[in-house]
Amino acid sequence: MDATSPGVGPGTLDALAAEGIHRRFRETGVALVTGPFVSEVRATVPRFVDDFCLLYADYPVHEKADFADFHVSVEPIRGPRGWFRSLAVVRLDDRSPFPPLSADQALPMFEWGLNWAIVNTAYQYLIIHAAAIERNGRAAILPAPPGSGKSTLCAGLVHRGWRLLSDEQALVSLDEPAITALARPVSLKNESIDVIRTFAEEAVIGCEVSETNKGTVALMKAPRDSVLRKSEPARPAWVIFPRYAAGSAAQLTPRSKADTFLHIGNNAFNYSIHGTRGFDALARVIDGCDCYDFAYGDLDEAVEVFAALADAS
Amino acid sequence: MPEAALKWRSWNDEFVVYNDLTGDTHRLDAVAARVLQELSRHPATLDEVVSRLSADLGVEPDDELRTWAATALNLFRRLDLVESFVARGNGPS
Repeated sequence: MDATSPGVGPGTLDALAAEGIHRRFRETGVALVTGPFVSEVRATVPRFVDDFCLLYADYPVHEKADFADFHVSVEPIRGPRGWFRSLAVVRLDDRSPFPPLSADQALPMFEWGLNWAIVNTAYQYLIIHAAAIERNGRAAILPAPPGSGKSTLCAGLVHRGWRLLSDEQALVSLDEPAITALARPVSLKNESIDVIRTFAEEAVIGCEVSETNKGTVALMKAPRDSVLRKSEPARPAWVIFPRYAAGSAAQLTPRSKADTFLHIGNNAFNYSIHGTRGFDALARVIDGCDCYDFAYGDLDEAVEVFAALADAS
Repeated sequence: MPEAALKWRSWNDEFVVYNDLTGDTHRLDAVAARVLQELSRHPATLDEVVSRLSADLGVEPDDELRTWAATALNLFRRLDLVESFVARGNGPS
């Protein structure tokens, strides 16, 4: 669905939040626009609603959505499983991709659930497992395994002149070398939460949730400018594999394009589904990108290296 | 493997090839890519591959080249990039 189609006039969640937002979430739900997707979100877990309204305050919402790509509900678990501690479950179109978790994990679970829904339905994109950021119209794709410092780097850069396209899923067009913006919250884990609090005092970070299967998790609100520019795609110009190593100088090292192609293809969520179209789409990305490994041990140094990269040529 | 089943891209003498019949993508160096491209156009025996390589690369068709070619063909076969055929002669009926 094109969320910006004529005749649809979304306000923002922040504007809606003044009007009995808990009741709204409970009774009619909220049709939230994130990038190209509309999600109808219903919730009866108060803490989830409060956290959600903090992190999604700037996002457009539809008064009435005739169509939503995803129907998400966040509900408390009642009965024996909920007696001893407060549990919640996230349902997507009446399916529960994850088992119930502690209610304070509802928002991270919502994020994981929305990621799951996008991967399993948004076949109009080649979806690369990577962060993506943009500056001067050009995008950097940052693929990396968990623990590599990808989200920390992404969170730092989007507070230093880069626009957030996505923290987890780079949506690549199948017909042209372009990345569609999602601009959803950035998932910070463990030490990176305090790193970003110190690095960017203006960053809005939600409640810390401990004892998740990823350790302590906190979601960082996407910068407002990134949310407002959700309809601007960006042309991929770099593929950069970040790796945090304590004490390491910030350094870009060129890497093989063919190797980069294989690495991204193997770690894309849906490369194999697209067949030759996926191959062509990824090849167009690699054609237009310089490819690097990037080691860093200090976020300020990393920002300087990325700024120099964006300002060159 | 029919030539049409393979899609190719290359950067700096490194190649990736997509096999539309298996859905797999592979990375090959320039020499291996050349051998596979030739094979997809014209089936060949190991001796013919060695002979072509020798001429193309300007090297002797020695044991080292033959071993390399045999290894490459085995790899292509394992990855379903080529098929083996037993030549049928005019044997006893």
